[in-house]
Amino acid sequence: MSDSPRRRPAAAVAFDEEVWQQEVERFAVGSRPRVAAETARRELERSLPSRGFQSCAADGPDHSRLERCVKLYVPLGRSSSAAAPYGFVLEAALAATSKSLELRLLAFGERHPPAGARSVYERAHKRLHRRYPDQ
Amino acid sequence: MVSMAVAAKKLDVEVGDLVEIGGRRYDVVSDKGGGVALEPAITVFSDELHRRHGTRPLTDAEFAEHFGDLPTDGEG
Repeated sequence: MSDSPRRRPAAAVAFDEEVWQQEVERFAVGSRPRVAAETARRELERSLPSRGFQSCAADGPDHSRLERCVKLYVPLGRSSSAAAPYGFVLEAALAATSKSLELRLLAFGERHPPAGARSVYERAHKRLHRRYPDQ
Repeated sequence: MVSMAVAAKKLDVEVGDLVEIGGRRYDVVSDKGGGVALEPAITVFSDELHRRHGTRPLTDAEFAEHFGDLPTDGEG
């Protein structure tokens, strides 16, 4: 990940409550991933970070196709897999009436899950394309 | 000590099915090793979210305009 300063996207981060339930509340109350996601959401709703946003891959190594999506490592502000083992994947959207930009949560989860579990990228792919990359 | 046989519940499911266990929903997915695994279900999709919130996806050009300078990490 580059350390160069990046501009803050001129967009609001939006959380659909049903998506939040499926992505974050699947983890137990008080568990490490759930606490990390809840903390990151509170931070994002206060203000967007000036760095940390990255573009997702249109054709990822696990064959996930996340075109027009961005991501943030969670906890925010950290980058290594050990310090930030989770991620938010967000889809860029344009409001039909106000023309304002939104970044809407598609998926939250582990960046590098254990064998047999699905990564945050695979979950985001399913929410975009209605099936997992290997289906 | 006498071992007790355990009778397995046979499930007629395949990859792609949605199942409910104990009030929670799961997608039946491949475990990538020849078997299957259960993954917490995803039942609301991007197109429905756009309808629900009155938005549309960005075009490639719009995305490049607003987010084209973001870095990538090759991870996904």
